[in-house]
Amino acid sequence: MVGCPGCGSKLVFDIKTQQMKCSYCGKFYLVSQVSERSKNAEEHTEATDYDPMSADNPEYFGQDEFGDEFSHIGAHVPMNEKEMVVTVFTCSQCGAEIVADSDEAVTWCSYCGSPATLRSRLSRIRKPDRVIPFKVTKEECIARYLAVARKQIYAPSDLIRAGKAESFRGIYMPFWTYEVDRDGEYRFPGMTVDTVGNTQTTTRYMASGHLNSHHEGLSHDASLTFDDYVSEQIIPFMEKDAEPFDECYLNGFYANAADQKDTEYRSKILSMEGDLILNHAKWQFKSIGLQENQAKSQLSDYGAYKVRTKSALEMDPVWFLSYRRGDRVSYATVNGQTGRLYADFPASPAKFFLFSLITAIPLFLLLNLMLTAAPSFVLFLAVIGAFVASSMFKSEIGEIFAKQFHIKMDAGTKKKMNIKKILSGLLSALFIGAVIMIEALPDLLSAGSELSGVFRAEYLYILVAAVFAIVLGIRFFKMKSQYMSLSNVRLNLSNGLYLLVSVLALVVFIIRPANDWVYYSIALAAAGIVALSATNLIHNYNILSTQKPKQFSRSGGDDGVA
Amino acid sequence: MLRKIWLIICISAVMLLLAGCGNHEKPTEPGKVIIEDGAGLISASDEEYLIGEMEKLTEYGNIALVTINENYKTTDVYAELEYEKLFGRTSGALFLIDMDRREIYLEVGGYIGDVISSGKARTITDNVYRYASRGEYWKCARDTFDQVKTLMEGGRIAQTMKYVSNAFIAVLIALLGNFILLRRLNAKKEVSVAELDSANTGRVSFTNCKTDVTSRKVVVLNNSSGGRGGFGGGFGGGGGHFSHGGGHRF
Repeated sequence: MVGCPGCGSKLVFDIKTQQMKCSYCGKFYLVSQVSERSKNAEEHTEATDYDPMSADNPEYFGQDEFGDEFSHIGAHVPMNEKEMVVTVFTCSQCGAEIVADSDEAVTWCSYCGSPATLRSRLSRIRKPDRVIPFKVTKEECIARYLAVARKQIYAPSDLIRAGKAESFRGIYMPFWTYEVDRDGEYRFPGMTVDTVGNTQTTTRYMASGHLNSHHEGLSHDASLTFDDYVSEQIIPFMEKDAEPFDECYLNGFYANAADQKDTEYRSKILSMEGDLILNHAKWQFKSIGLQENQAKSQLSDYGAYKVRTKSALEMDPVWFLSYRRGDRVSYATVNGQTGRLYADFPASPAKFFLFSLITAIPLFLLLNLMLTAAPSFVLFLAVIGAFVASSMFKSEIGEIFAKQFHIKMDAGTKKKMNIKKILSGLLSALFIGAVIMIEALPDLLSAGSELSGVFRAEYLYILVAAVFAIVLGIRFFKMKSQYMSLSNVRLNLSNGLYLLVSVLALVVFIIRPANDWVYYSIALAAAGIVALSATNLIHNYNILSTQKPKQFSRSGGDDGVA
Repeated sequence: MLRKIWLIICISAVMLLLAGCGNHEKPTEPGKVIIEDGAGLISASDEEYLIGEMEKLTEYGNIALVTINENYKTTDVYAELEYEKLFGRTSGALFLIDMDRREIYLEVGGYIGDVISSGKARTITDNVYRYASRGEYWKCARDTFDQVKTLMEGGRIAQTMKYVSNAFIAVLIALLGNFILLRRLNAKKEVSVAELDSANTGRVSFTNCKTDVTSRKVVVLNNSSGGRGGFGGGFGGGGGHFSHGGGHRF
């Protein structure tokens, strides 16, 4: 603990003034003053633990997997200055570790949210090289969170209450920050298409020359506990605010120890650096229509360039909130420097169904004004509903799969998929709108519709149901083989039911029974399936909007406790 | 977002109410009653009874009951053409029993058509089709005209299935719509390359730049220009459909 020179009470880092403040007498001190005083008065504390990431681990330095020169800032510093002794608290529920002052009362775990007993021990860890102090205060953090949370009408009430937001905890997260130098010859292809009158000219180019680049501050979190997906949502941290590491900055906050080697993320960092170069190249070679995919792949050919990386361990400020439900946790994190927010808001099924019911009332009144639906039309809409629900289900399963197996789509594929999604959404909306208008037009226009004499809606129903049945059939088998490794998403049952409804509807549309109840029964079954789907969709959505903390799969914690 | 949705719903409702307003006046002369039992479904005594019932509606326009055995068109088209043949562009109601396609259809127009929309006509046939299924054609016609009378007098007819269907459709749209809204509300914005670029110190220099043209392909586009004259003419006034209606299979 760093004590106040005046009264001896605990000093904490004050975000507003960026100085050390006495928690008792309220006096302020410069960080450098306190740091100097602390160094002089420092007592040697015996470390009781050995950390594999600590500086005395001989395997920790050397050449990386790319064979390039790879060094650490501060590698020349004597060993005792590269370490620090901290109190590590281990959650007895999930096994997560958090670093705090020994006199800090750690009453709940930031990662799993449980008020579990935390065991403490002294540990020797690698001393970070730099620190970016907190700039965003807890009040600002809460305000940002609540501004977003209050719009989340489907989120569980306790998650959007101001009281929950008070649980935000300031944690310094370890990040590996990299400097990357690249030097070599580039060869980027380009293509332009010009049309003048009736003549179209396609020209292909090859731009070549010398590329030299230097990037600093490319970072990746160095903690296994901190989910990569979450940390990637709140970067970047601005390197301009980075200070040489001083333990004073940690006072009043928690911290997480680095447990991942810097070599782990080198390929990710190089890919990020490649994107940054490509971003410049896009402007530089705009006139020749740079072909980005080929240029990116050329930049990924590390044999063609001399690439040098240098890493440093940096403590970056993060406001952290966790909300636990079962074995899954949703996180809200705020970048303590820039204020960038990432928050998972799981949906409460009760709220979702309540809002659906509330929305259904004005829709029902509106429909009564414009629509007297034939039973076949009701069934047709039910089939469309089942198909839309199936498409949403498919999209969610794809996302769960990508999240579970850490599959990341490149920008090009993502762009294509987004365009496809927008187009299909637009077409579906137009299509459904057109069908509703065809059904409703005779009601709206007293003179009747021009289409009524030439258009038989039943033919359209048969066509659509047949197309849907085929697509759903293909989807059933394709998803079965593609996502067979996903066990918790009720894949076959959902897809099987969608398929069954569309096939039954197709049969009914072809037979055209006179009895309304045949249509209504199948429409009712489809409605049941869509309602079931909604439950399923919410279940899957909650899988997507929550994380399974990695620590839960760790051995340790209270695993051995009966 | 929710405010926008409400606004759209309100505007749509007002537009629909305005669109539904008719403009035909009540006929001054009583209409005629026609029964064309081409399929031979109505007995003489029942026909007499039905004429009595149909006459009660003549103050609103012409009333017809048509039954057919053969039909090479769709039932709604046949009903519309038959209406035009029998009543022209005057107010009326024609109830068609199509034994060929096993479908009943109520075609209305003019003053009656202003009061009875296609939806209402469909509701009426929905309420009476079971009689036709059981072969009780006169009862089917009787109830049809009875419900037309109720509506013309400003009364209400049972439309349970309309409410059930609309409730079903509303719930379906609400569930899917709310789910789309849920996804949109919680959509994550990934960090862009530009953001990363602005946050980090970096320098990229391309020197000794050389650009070679590797290939050039010139294609003369085969545009069939000059052939298109656009759509001429358009619809030449008048016409359109005068009557409308709704039907049901039996």
